[in-house]
Amino acid sequence: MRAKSPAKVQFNVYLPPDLVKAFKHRAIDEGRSLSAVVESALADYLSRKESR
Amino acid sequence: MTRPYVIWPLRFSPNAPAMIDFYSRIGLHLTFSHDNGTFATFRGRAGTLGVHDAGDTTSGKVTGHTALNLATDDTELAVAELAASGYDVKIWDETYGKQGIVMSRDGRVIGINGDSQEDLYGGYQTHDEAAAAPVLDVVAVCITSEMKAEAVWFEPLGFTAPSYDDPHWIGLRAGDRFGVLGIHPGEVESSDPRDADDLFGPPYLVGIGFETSEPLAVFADRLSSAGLDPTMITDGSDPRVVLVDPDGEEVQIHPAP
Repeated sequence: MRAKSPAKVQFNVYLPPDLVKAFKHRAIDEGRSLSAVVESALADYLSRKESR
Repeated sequence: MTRPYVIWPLRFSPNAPAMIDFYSRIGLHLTFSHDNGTFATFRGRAGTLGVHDAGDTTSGKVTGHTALNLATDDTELAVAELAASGYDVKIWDETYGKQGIVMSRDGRVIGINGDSQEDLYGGYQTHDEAAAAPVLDVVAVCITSEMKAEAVWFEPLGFTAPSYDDPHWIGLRAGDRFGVLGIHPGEVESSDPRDADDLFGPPYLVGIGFETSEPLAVFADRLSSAGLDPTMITDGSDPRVVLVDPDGEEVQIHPAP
């Protein structure tokens, strides 16, 4: 039996259109979902802040 | 009454380039594609159809499955209308635009998608509409043990049938351009949950069939001329053309009513 993924929640924020477009294009380039790329970016940001 | 929806079954294929070629040969119009052959959408006289490479999805692999989606001109408005009507819906952003879902009466996921994509970044392209209208209507075949209840659930989405009493087939239409939902008796196919669908539930799986206004013999000849291998079945009360697609699935084409 496959392990269930941790529950996820929706996270609505307002961002500059160009930044949204850049993230969408990055996700296409990497063959990943938009959610996966934004999740990576947020996790990386927190990781860098916490390691200082 | 909600805004109009167009039937848009999406096949997740391990042979996407071959499936795209197959649907072109049987007479659908290619309307949108990725230049690496991993994604394409087609238009019939009524209804639309999509092919997605099963190894290139961002939401997990569901090789050979066909998921029911409904295309609309405005996903956000459509989801808002459905929510106001009491449907269980969700919406979020994807690279291609807004992705909506509505939960079926038994908790399966039906996609709600925009009928066009503005940003063609990454190799997507639109294709000019051919001059002649395709003679095929796209049919999404829904298997269920509760035919009438399933059919009635789709009524508020605009899909209705002249009669709901045939125990073998209920053909739901929303007009001349929107495709056909065919309700057929049987047990609901179980499926491996996709990663993304773990959040919401299993996809609403359908089969793909067609109806044509062309005489079946003419249609079968055209398929043969296109390099396909159709079988015409004329005995009994259910005349049809049958062929096998590159994924090994049987495809049935029936006369349009």
